[in-house]
Amino acid sequence: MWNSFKTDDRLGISAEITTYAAGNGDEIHAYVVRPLADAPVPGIVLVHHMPGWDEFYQEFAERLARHGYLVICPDLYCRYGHGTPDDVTAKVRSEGGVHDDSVVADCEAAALWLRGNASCNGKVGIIGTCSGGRHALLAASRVGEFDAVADLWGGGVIMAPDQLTPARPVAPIDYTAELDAPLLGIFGNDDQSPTPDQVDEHQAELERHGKSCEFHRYDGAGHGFFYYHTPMYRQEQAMDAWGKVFAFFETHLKS
Amino acid sequence: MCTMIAVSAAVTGSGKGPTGWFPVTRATVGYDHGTHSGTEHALLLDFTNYDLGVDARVALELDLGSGRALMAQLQSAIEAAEAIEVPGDDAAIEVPGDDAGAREGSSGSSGGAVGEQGSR
Repeated sequence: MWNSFKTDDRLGISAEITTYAAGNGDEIHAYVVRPLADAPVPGIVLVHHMPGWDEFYQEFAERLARHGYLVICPDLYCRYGHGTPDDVTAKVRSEGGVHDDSVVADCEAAALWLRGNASCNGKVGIIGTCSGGRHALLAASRVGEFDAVADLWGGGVIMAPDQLTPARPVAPIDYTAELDAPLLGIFGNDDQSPTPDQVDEHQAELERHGKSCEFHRYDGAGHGFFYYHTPMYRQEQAMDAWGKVFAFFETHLKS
Repeated sequence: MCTMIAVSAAVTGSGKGPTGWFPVTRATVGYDHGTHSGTEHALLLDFTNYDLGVDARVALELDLGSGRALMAQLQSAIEAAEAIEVPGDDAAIEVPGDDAGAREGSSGSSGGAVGEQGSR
């Protein structure tokens, strides 16, 4: 929980951009943040959003690490070239978006990287926001490497046939039967994608398959309400939802 | 929400970026999360030349009303230009630094017709 540390705790993190063998064996960049710890800690794969591998995600990774997780945040756009995050994102956008298969492969490789790290306790979660939430759910559904998954306002989990594209050929909800990890969902009731009705439909599908899920819906919040650098930020809802995220990972990765 | 709305066209012309003028080969119009605008979504106009790197880009983020106004004035200016130009002259734009020079129906590094890719 926020501000729950003791002032004499041994705290600290180290962070760096490194590379790892991702999907297809490609060496791609990742932002890795390690907490100071005497014993192995759980790992988390952090899946960045459509606006790119940006500074918000670096700070997101650092926050998770401050709460005791070894975090790897892959640059899912690494293969498109390098520049400022918005320039790279513009190129990805112009080419129809990153392919779901590419993201899933990079996330699976990131999970294996964590499990192979001596400072990881062997448990690995995955989390993302926006398209990253959708991708986190997709990866957890298609790859049996995750012990917990958190989808924060991922749109496009439910997709009409005319919304499927070469880069996004299958709706994640169609993989519900394959999801083995417990799922946390965080949503704003003013969001247009996913809409509250889509969130309800997704939850019903999870329950129909007997899946473990915990959904939280917030009034007065729309899409991206964690983004403190934008007008979408909603302080009260965001801080409550952060508590839900930490509690969820505490339960499934630290116990 | 990520709309994933983005369409592209091959274009011929020049753009001015932080390091000066460069030939642009592709225009992409999206409607999705912006970087700088204070709204959840914006019209995203990118004029690029990815043969020169991902930062060879002139970017605009507009609201929808501004997009409509721009589209109307583009149409108006094009119609006025066509009234005084010889048909076919629209492809005869000299682009300094562009080896292809004047090109008709230019194809960018991987560009194409409007609406060729990624609509949702």
